[in-house]
Amino acid sequence: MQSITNKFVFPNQAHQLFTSLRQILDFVSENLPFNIDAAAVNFKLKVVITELLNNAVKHAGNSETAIHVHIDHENIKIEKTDFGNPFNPNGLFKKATGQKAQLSQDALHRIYAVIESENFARFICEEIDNEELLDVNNLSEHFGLLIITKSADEFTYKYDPSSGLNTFIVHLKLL
Amino acid sequence: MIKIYKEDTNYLFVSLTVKEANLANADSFKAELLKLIDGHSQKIVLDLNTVEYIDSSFLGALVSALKHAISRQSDIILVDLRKDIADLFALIRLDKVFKIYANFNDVPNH
Repeated sequence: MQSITNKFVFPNQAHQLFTSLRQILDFVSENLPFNIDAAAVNFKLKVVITELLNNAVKHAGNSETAIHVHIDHENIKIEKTDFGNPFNPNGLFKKATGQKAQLSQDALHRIYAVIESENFARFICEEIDNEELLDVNNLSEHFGLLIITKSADEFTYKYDPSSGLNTFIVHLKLL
Repeated sequence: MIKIYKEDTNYLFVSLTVKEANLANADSFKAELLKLIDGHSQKIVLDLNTVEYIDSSFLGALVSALKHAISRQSDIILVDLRKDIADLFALIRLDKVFKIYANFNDVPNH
């Protein structure tokens, strides 16, 4: 199949989330290669898009978010761009290339950003094995970043200081 | 948003009535659930069968309510999760945190 790309622009409003999600899922289901397990792809796609849109509503602070969806025979790439506040917890990009910064930890997971280059980071997650001693009070109540990081085959963030553009990119492998 | 189905000595059986459990209704859901926890001595059994879509905001509200329930020696038990919802719980390991059963009848001791 040939690759195909579409751009979706959404108002950052909570009550529009489901409609926005539906538009992207419909586009992907119409354009998936015929040999792909659509149910498995749809689950990951649904949770990733949901959380990217949620993040926009909660944090981006501006009125619109753009999501580009690119499909080829091996991958789906979802790119969310906005000009809202940069993602920079704990001075993330003061770390040197190759270092990793811990973004969060709770009773079940640690999430890190690995600095790949200047203003470019890749998110990774570690599971913590302490189920027998699990204390619910040590559980996070913020799951957006975790859901995307664990669903994606690769999840990255790029900041362009000259334009103020934030770009989150999720790769999902189809094969 | 939360409908009481029945109650017995040990449990209050309730159903969530929304299809879309997300940022738009997470705060209202949490407020209703906390009220039920505070108003009843039994553990809460929450049926999620109607829920087609759940997001991190709603899951955060659910975990927050669970912490409140446990602090009051109560609990929140979940039943009848659709496959996508169950898969999401498993993905972020909330299936290790909540007791989850197929339906009301599978909940022990009622």
